[in-house]
Amino acid sequence: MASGVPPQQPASQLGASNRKLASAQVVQFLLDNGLFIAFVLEVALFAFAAPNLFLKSRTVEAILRLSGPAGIVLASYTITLISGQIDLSTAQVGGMASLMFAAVFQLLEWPLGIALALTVVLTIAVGLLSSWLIQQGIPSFVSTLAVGVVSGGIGFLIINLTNQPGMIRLVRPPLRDIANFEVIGVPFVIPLMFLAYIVGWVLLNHTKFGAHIYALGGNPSAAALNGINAVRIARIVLVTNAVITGLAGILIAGRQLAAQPGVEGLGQSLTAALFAGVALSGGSGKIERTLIGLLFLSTLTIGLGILNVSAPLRQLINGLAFVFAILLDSIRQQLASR
Amino acid sequence: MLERITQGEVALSGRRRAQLLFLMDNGIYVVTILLFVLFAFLAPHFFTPRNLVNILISASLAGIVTAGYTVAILAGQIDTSTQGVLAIATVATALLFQEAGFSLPLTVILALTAGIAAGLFNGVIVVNGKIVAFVATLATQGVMLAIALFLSGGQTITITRAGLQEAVFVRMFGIPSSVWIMFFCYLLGWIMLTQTKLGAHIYATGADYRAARLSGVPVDRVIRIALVISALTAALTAILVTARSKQSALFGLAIAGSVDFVTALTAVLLGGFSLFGGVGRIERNLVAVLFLTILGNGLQLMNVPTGIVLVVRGFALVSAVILSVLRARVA
Repeated sequence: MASGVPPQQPASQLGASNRKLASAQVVQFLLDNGLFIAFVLEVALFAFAAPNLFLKSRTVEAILRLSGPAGIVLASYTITLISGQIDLSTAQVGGMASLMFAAVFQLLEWPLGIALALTVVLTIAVGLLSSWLIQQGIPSFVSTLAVGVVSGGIGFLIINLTNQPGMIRLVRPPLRDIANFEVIGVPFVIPLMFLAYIVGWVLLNHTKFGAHIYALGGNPSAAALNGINAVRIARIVLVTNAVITGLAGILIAGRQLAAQPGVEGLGQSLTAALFAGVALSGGSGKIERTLIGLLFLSTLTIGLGILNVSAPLRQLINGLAFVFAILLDSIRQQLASR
Repeated sequence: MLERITQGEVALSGRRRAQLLFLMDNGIYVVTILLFVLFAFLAPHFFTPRNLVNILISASLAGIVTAGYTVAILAGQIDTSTQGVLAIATVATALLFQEAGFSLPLTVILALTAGIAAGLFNGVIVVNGKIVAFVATLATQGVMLAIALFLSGGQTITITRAGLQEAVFVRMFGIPSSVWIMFFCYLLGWIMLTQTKLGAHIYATGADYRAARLSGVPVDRVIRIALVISALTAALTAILVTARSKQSALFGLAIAGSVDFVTALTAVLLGGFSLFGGVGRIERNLVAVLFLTILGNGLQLMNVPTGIVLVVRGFALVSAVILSVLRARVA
């Protein structure tokens, strides 16, 4: 929320209150633009720490490659979050979808289209289950958490039923080529990600549906009184999110040549969105900013990898980033309600 | 945060409503007995003294976590960091006892202290950070798991030094000590919740945070205490689990009836507690824990694939959540 022009004050109240206002404006400015500053600082820090390894086109490519599928998910995840729903099933749904796809496409050797269609149907079912639970009056984070446990179980079940050792190798030609397909030297997931963001941006900012999503996330009861069909929006948003997450899971599996339960890199959507100023409670946030949040986290992952930071320490840093993100959200909410 | 999309009361006559509530409240007893009988016929080696003791021990471990978890839920705090606390405490126990060679009492005290520290950390983020517990503890869990991973180097620490299992798993009157500890936890919990001022404060905070604060309940302190109790029982369970298996436990893959927050949350909801705090009776959880343990144990003995066990566990949570919401609507 931009603060804009400070309100005119009577001369008697100038002084102390003015200084307070100024400092509040500084805090607000930092909250609004801190992410850009942090991102620039981060890049500078890594460039300084490992100039020979970090400042390479290969590094940029690695960061973009990591961001691609996660960014496609983040676009729809942000919309979900703005509508007031927190989806905690992302990693499990992505894993389940990739395993389902791998079982049908790789092991049964069915055509690509049928494997994709079956996976989409499964993810639609998962999204419907989540939204049905929410409709019963269960908060989204509990509903999606439970659905996540179920999805994780289905993923394992697919591994059990196919007698695979913890993962399914995914090397059958068409997909392998699609997942690694490049347009003028850029992996095609990158333009796909930007497309997802453009669609999301137009949807949120230039359609009635987008306005309804903001209204619903901002104040559910007021939105309901104004005739916005909350149940329908929650259903559309959650089903879309599940389907897109599933497709991203397949893309990641295609790149890694293996499908696994629980997909690495899809779990950070919440952190990225909160960094970018999307409110945890819904109703506010700009979708384009989450792209920076994502780049920030991807750069962190790749940069720490280049610096040879051990896995536990990396996990600790990621964990602290999440804690920091929710604290940021809390500060933002308190400032907004003041 | 807890704004619900749809709300509606089920229109029922008084008598039907009473019947339905009675069924919801006591159905768990019937279902547990039915499940027990079913597995006694279907699952090989289920109805043997050895396995029954096994069930009792597993249930007591899950029961101890659930006891503390109940207190957090009653205060309106959904604690999702249980797995993180378990991981830290199990690694601490194994490292201190095996690698550092500390004495048993000192190991236990330090591992419990680690649990208290984790609970205080949760409290700081929830209370001082003004963040909903569910999200806050989800975040702190990541930090705790990473710390446990960091301390253990990602390795399972095997305990070869004698004295831990033998001291912790003694039998009194033929019943394993963990069962006694569980009963003791529930007794303490029951006394605290029903007989003390703190208990009344916990119920009040969970039922209506704002009203409780306005009527002078030290809500922040109550939330901190509830989160510490939840973490403390998780740490206690971790010590027992570590002693039982003689190694630091892995908490990556949890199955039905094992100790983690999904089991605890399911048990608490099946026990009749509201997701939103303020209502519920602690003793019914015992039955719910027993139900989940029997379910996990029986399926395992029938050689059901892990995937199915995990799906069943997921649907148990889904049904528990639905049941809890239905109860709120009927009541």
